[in-house]
Amino acid sequence: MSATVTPDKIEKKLSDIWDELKMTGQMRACLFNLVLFNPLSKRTEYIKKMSQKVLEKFPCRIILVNHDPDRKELETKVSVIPQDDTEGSVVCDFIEITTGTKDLEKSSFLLLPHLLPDLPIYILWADELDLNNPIYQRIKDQNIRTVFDSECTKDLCSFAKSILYIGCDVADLNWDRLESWRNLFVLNFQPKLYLNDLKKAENIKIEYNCCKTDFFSNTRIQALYFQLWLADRFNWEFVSGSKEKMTFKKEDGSSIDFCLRSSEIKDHKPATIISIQIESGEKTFEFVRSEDNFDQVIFKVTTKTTCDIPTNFFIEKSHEGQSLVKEIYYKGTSKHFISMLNKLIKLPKDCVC
Amino acid sequence: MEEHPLKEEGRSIRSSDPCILVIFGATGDLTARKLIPAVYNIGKEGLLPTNFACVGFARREKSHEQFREEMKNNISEFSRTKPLDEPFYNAFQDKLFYHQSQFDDDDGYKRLKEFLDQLDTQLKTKGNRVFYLSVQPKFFPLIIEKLHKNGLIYDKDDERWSRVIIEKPFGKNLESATNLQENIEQYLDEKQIYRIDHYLGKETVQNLLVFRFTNSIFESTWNSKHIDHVQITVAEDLGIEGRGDFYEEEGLLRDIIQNHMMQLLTLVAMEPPATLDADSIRDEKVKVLQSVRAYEEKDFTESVVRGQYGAGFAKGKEVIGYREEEEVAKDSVRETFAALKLNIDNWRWSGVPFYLRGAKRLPKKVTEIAIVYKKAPGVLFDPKNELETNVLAIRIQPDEGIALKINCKVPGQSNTIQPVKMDFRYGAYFGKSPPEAYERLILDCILGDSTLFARADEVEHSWEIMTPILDYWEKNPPKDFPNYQSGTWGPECADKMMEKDKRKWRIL
Repeated sequence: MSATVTPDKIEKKLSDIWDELKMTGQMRACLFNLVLFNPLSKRTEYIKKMSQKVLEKFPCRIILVNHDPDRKELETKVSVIPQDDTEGSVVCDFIEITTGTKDLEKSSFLLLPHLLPDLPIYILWADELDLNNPIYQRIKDQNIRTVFDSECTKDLCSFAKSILYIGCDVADLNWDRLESWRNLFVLNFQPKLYLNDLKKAENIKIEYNCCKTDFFSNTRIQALYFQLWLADRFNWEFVSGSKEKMTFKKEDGSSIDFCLRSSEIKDHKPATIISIQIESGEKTFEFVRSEDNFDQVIFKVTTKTTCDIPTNFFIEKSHEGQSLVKEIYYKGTSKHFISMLNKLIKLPKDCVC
Repeated sequence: MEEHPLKEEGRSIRSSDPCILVIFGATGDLTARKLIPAVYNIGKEGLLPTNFACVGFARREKSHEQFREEMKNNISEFSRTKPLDEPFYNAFQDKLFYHQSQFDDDDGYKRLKEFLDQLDTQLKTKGNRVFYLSVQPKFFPLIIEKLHKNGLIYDKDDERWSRVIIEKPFGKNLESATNLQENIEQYLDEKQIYRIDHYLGKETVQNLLVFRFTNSIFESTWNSKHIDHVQITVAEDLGIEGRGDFYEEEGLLRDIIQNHMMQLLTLVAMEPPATLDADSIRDEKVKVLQSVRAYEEKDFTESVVRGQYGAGFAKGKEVIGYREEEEVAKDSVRETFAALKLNIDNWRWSGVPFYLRGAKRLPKKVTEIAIVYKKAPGVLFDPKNELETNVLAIRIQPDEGIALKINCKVPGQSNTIQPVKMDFRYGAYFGKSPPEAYERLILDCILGDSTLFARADEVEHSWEIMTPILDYWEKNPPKDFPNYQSGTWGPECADKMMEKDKRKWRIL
């Protein structure tokens, strides 16, 4: 249950709630501050679910700032959220601030006194990245790590440029959502022979789920990121192309074609990669999600005359908040991510957005 | 080594070579409760090599299907992650196989080799092998010899690798441990041997190094200038749980102190290693063992005590004494309690005794390392020398965590001082089901990382310390056994040993 309070009573009200909880054996714990900035929309529910998932894994103080542009009054609410429903469970503070554009500046001042000292500060910025936003301005100088969700952007090129400009620790949930696929490639292209085949590939087709929901509409980003990650890792340079098909030049002068193919699979998470096919000389490498179990990827290598026994992999089940949870494990910005973004900003705009 | 272009240090998965894990003693309790659930959970986390198989080797007749069915039940019952993930298990079980043979049957090993070669072709496991010897120690030399004889152990120059995990106990005393080592080193290079001590796989034990070497506030006081003494306790509320045969043979000193507790001691006392690689860490641990002062004749009565539990109570129920347990002699003199005082003669620890206490049938199950600090000068608040000292308690199990006891003023007009505890509990911050020790250790072996395994010289030095005690005990059987009641904190002589030094065991 959340209670509406005036901004000056936030800590007092939390204290009162804790006094009431004293006898229940519940424990107050906090590993870090998590600030969520979110434009009030249908996606707010998704963001809340995501914060709940983080909290289930790591106890933290959550400060959710909802931005409702036309709102006239600033509203502040507090509550405590249990990690799970067991007795003696860990319970965490939750502060919710809903603000209109006119009160954004004021809200930014509200944040500072409620950040618990000596603990890391993570920000999930679930909106277009506006470096002049007063909330961002106010907290950017704290010891922070900012996690963006490129899903929220309408202009991926500008987003990438802003990220590269920021220079502090950053992450992007769409990059994190690809972690299982990147690991799958690390595992399967570990043998030198296969790695050389990948380097010599002529065609790579990436199929992704383009089915949109209230929470996801930029369904192509993950496939594009994956394509550019590979291109960046092997120093392939963009030559020509469109959104669907791009040609890159390799260091030896030969070329490689990438094809991003969309498929609509309603029951599964939007934007996820469904299959990847790599053609290299006589060999074809195929990674395909199993029809029976979407979390299972079947890998097979075939030539015109041979076919290896397929290998099954379980890639992590994706659920809300998992990427954010994983990002909290890491320190610093992924070098591969930054390098990939540098590749992205060099693409013609009509290939990106 | 050339960097893999797709790997990112600190972010990518630790990828491992394809391999086959062969578990000797596949029908045993450890395989059922720990090993197979561990392999299953490593797989669930996506950390097993792409091309992998697990073969159970045991003496009983069994088909692959029967083995898989049994392992499914074991995973359902004993895995830390519940319930069983059916879709995952269905794929995982295709990698489980069973091979029946006697441990001494050459033909069985020939058939094993043929079978593994066949799996290599089928699953592209590249000939790499981990052999996990979850069998009685008497079979170690035999199995290793047979593996070697039948071409299952490779030379260290071979492109393929073979590694052998050996369960404790590694020998019964210095002589037998040396013999065992000499025996197996005919066939195995040290780098191929992984002596498992599951304590080292525990998260909290690994955290000891992080805690010590990333928190300057503690490391700067981690020496004889500030620390009065250290207490390490491994207490079990259980008795010997049907292992009468084993206990009559081994006893508590060999079962717990020579390995687990000495490992804890080395981690508490070691100097910072030059790097975090396996040998740097193990070199420092060995230096600690080398610095432990050898016992003189008088120490066997003054600095070492032993005990055996009699009847009493555990968890509110009446329980029998050790001598009434099955497969235990009615006049057994085997110890189920041991406490020792060890001195480490080096710059850091000179004058700081380490007290080790390990036992069965104590009031509760707890493993703890307590760093007991020296008293603050009493000039201002403690003229009568009554105040408590600071204690840093590192709880290894259960309720893993770290607590610091400090003195505080009780609010009010008087100057009453009261000790309070600052308590950090792992479970509260990082969840209640950390990976099992065996998960970490099996994966490390597959990855070729031996940091968390004991090296031959560690084992040898540890036996050098313990063997004189065992010899003394052998020659001087106790006259007062059983000397503590089940459900108490041990025999009186253990308290007296501390009292003599004007110290007390911690009540845990």
